[in-house]
Amino acid sequence: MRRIPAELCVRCKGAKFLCGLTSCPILERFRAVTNAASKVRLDVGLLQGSTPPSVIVGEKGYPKVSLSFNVAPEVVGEQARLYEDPAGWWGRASLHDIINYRSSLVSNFSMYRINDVWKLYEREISLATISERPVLSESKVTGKLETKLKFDGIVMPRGPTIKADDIRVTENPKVPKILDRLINDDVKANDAVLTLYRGGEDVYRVVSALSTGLLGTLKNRKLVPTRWAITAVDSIVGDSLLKEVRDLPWVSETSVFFQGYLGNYFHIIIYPSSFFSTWVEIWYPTSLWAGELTITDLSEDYWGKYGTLDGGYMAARLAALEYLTKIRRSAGVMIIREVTGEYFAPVGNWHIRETVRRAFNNRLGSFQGLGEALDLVQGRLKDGRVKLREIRAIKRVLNQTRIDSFFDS
Amino acid sequence: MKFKAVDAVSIASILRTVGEFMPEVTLVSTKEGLRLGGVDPSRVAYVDIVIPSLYFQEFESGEREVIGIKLEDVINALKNVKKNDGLTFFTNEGKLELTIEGDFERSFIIPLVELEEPKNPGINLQFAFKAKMLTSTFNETLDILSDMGESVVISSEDGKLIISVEGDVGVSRVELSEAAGNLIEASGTNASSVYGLDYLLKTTKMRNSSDVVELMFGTQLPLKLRFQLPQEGYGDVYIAPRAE
Repeated sequence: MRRIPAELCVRCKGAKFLCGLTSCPILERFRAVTNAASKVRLDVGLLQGSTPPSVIVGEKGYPKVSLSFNVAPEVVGEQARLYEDPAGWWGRASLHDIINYRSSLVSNFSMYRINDVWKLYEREISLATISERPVLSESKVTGKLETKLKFDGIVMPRGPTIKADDIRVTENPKVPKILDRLINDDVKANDAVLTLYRGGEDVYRVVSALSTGLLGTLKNRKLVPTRWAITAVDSIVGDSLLKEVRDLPWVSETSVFFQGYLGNYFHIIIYPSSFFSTWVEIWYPTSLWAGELTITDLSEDYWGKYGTLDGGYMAARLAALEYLTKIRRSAGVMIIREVTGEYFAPVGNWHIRETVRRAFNNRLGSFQGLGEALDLVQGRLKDGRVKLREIRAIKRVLNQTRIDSFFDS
Repeated sequence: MKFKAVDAVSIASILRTVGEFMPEVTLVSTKEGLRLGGVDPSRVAYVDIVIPSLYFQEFESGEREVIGIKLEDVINALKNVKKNDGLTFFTNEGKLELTIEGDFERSFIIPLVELEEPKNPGINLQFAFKAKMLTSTFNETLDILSDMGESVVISSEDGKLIISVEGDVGVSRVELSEAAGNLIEASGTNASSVYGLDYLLKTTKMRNSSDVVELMFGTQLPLKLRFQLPQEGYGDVYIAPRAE
């Protein structure tokens, strides 16, 4: 994450915005955390409120992991949904809003071994995390409320944390029928994920179900760290869609799509070809993680082979494959992500999936070929110093000749 | 169509190699033998395998028989073949019957798929440079370079064959020549072209089927790899260059 020099904050004190942001993240976080903390009754060790639902299984210490059952203190019913609602947030909530929501959600954690899934099931804790509506809970908590927020590029931010000695779900979770059936079925996790996705469940609920050990063969169910579960679901569903898309006829023209949210801007080029995907990330100076202009890339071939596993790419890839499946066409896909200084705190990779999904509703135009489409995107980049045609993964596509051009006519 | 090979591993490796390039393939059998291949879906490579009838212990074919197979099905069936296993392919009423004879007999019935009959394209190129080497030498070279980058420069300089890969951390280069004893033959003029390394790596399974490979290329021309098979059979793989 970009470091704002402390001396700047000391001089500014949240009033002059010397860091260039439009509001002070320290003050906003402080306000949200103190607001949430004031609602936890530490004197009697009680935390009451609804979970949106929201759960995070940690990976540190695997196979003994933390499970954070996230609760909005003293918030009851539908109002709690706002604290974890990626699809509903998109386009409406600013980065500040999202940080505020997450800062207001108390991460109510306990340690479990990964095969403790049935304990969580019997107490309906795992069922509450996949409920269609917020679920009321009551937790006995001990120790200090740790007010530090945790940010991550894949998982949503985690709010103030407190240790839960006992979590009681005090309202019946509303579990979708298809999920209820799969919890009781002896089905491989891979097949269960696909059944849920094809049955119309959103990927976020599927991730929670996989993460809390509700899917898989009955003997082998385990808690899965949320970060792994997110990429696993993107990957399982994406691979299945790719198998379907690979054999479809090619798109007939080159199109460019665009969408932006939270300081992340996506241009997507779809061009006539067998499936081949190119992912380019341009991190501008002052954006997260990058002190200087940084460009990363990766490619995925027709067979689904890629060099490195990137959670951001897997989320974008899922959205692109959903689009190709919808139009019943195969294509070459080039996704160019620009990350600007507006994106000053990571809030997980959900926004990549959601923004790319929505980009396909915003076509900028049709073009003669890939070169012409790239010229358009080049002209729209936030910084003209970036030369798209010189980026390795793009060069690879542009320079590759086709064998049929050497056949005797 | 019916054929029986005494070396199941060799046939399995040929099919695995083709399976690296394409999901399905058409097998065409005539009295002369078997031919399979096609252009890969990304249209970068063309594979053309010819296995003469004499290669097989038994070979029966009509004038011209054409079947389509899904390679994943066949490769899965052949995944446990051992060196001395025999292998029989037999087509019967829209199905392929595959029998592996070894310590015990295993049979698989695989449905055929409908594919367009391939038109074998003419591809007559004047290559600037040709070199012949052991397939094991070729594989070792690719093995050395495989993790270094994603495109490979193949060039010839004064009769030497130079294969190099430029990666993020530097350039790796392997030089092969008749004088050094790692080329069986080499001839031609200086040339240089760039190819996708991943396409070359797809050919490494041919090592179990072929002992000698001939490599042919020219500047801005496809790379042709001819894997020699017994009884004058061959496995040709053409890879289109990158215009760099």
